[in-house]
Amino acid sequence: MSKAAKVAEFDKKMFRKKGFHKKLGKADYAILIILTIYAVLIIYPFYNAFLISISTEQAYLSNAFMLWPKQLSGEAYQTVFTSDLLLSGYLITIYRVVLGVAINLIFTILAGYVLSRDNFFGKNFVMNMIIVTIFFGGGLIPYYNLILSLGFKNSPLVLIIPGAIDTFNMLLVRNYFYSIPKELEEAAKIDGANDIQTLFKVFVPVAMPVIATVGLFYAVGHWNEWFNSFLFIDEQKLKPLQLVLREIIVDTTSSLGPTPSGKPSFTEGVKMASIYFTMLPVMLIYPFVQKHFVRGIMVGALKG
Amino acid sequence: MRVQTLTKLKKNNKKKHYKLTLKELGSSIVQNKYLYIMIAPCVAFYIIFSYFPMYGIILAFKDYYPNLGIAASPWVGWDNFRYLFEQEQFWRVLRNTVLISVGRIALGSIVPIIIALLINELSIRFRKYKRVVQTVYTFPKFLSWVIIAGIVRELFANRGAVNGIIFAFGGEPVNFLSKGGFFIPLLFVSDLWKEAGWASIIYLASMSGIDIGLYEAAEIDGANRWQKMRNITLPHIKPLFILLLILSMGSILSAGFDQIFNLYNPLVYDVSDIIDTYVYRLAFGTAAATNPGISTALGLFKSVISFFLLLFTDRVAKMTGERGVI
Repeated sequence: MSKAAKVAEFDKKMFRKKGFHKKLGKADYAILIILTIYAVLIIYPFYNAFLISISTEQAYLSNAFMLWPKQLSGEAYQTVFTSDLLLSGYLITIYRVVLGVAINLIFTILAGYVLSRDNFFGKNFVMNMIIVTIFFGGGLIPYYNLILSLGFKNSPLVLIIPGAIDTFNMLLVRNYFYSIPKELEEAAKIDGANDIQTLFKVFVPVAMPVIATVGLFYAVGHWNEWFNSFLFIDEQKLKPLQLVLREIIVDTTSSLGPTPSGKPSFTEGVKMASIYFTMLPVMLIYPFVQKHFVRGIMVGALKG
Repeated sequence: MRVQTLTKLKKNNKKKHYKLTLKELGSSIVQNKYLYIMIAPCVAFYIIFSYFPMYGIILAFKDYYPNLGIAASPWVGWDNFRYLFEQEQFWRVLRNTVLISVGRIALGSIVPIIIALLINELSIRFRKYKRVVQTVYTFPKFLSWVIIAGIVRELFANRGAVNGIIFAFGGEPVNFLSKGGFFIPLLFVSDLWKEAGWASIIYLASMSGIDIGLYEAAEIDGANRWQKMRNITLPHIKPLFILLLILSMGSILSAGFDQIFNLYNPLVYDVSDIIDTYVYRLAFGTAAATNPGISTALGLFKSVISFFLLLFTDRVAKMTGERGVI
């Protein structure tokens, strides 16, 4: 049978198996409608926030429930784009994502590799030592004191070093390394490679899918993290984006001040514009990387 | 090969309780020296950031003076705990934590299954649409609570969209964010809004593993859609459901710090103040409210209880024949 014929045969089989031949009943339409309503419930709050961010204050005050824009205004975005706070927040956040993920991956891969090797004496001891930290910690004040004594207060390092390894991500990578056939390692060793060479020349390329997934998890984590910076950073120019956003949203005292033209700004509009400013990168990238996140949860679910 | 012999040695080790001699151990370490070099920074990381702070647990048994430091502050035995348990505030916080957690766990285990069932039952003809709604459902999971709290605060503000709808129907505006009766449901709804779609993915993955032959056989026997769902799909995801429920038991005393901390205000402390937020305010709140010793004691109380809850539920799960988590 030719390849094309095989494909056609397969398609036919799948067609029957998956129910293409079935007629759509009432239940099918009911399901479609329920799922659509739920999707609208997820989307509307974002849409409403967007409408508020491009509206005038009068439109907002007359009724915040809108289905389409009423009186357009770009002032909120003007305020946001000219705000030094948000811009420096963006730079700090990009810095922490790039450098942070690099450090995360190095630490995670090293730990994951060594802990997946049977010839590492003390594997069980180190594993247990790490597992315990999932369940037990010192608490807020001891952690705070530790960071202060390391001199990390108001240091960009506090955004990167204390979160260098996420234990769950590390275990994900470790389990993947563990499932790689021993022959691959042995072949590399016969060729005279040491462990560092084996790891980076053999294991890392093979494990690239899972490493990409873990890297994305770390990247989102860095983009969204706010509590560490909330505790340890009070210098304005070092605050990451989420912290700046939090101040705009939660602390009523701090705001971005008047619009560039000098009029008092429309607070709600500026809040919503800042939210869009902060989540836009995640929003744009997410549809393309969704499958990697889903793969992560599958691997984790099967192994853990 | 050296690698092979060592693996074999290890295997023998398990069977015959064969112990490595010191000499063999030494040569193994020399042979694999890179492994030890590679793991060193990681072990150092865990020692510094996880184990050093554990030393600070002794704060729970001390009267802490910042100018004296942890070591020199006077010991007070169980006084911090005694004081804590006498406080009405403690019982209120504990009750809030458990109530909010139970509600979250109950809703958070059922709603994702419903979503997954609906997506699973959606006709294959809408497969492209299926992919779109899945992207929509899972997206909020990847935003921080800071962002979600901003949107929720806006939506339920006095002049926000929800009150806009109420107003359009001639109702009186409701102050959702500062009334206890509304605030807790708001916590549940916003939590589901953020997490439920993502949580449904894992069930969907499990459902996609069901043998299609089972459904076909059921169809031949004349089963309808509902019967197939009840007798094939639901039994298949039951073990996963139980496993996830056990996992959530260990976190019953964490009722969602990020969410509550970004949403609550003093008007709803009565119903929404949980252990984690109280620990935070005891540590860093207004000067009059802070007490580091009590804060650490409360944190320790939480860790110990959570740990035993996890052990307990794991044991129960293993007894009922399910796969444990530890």
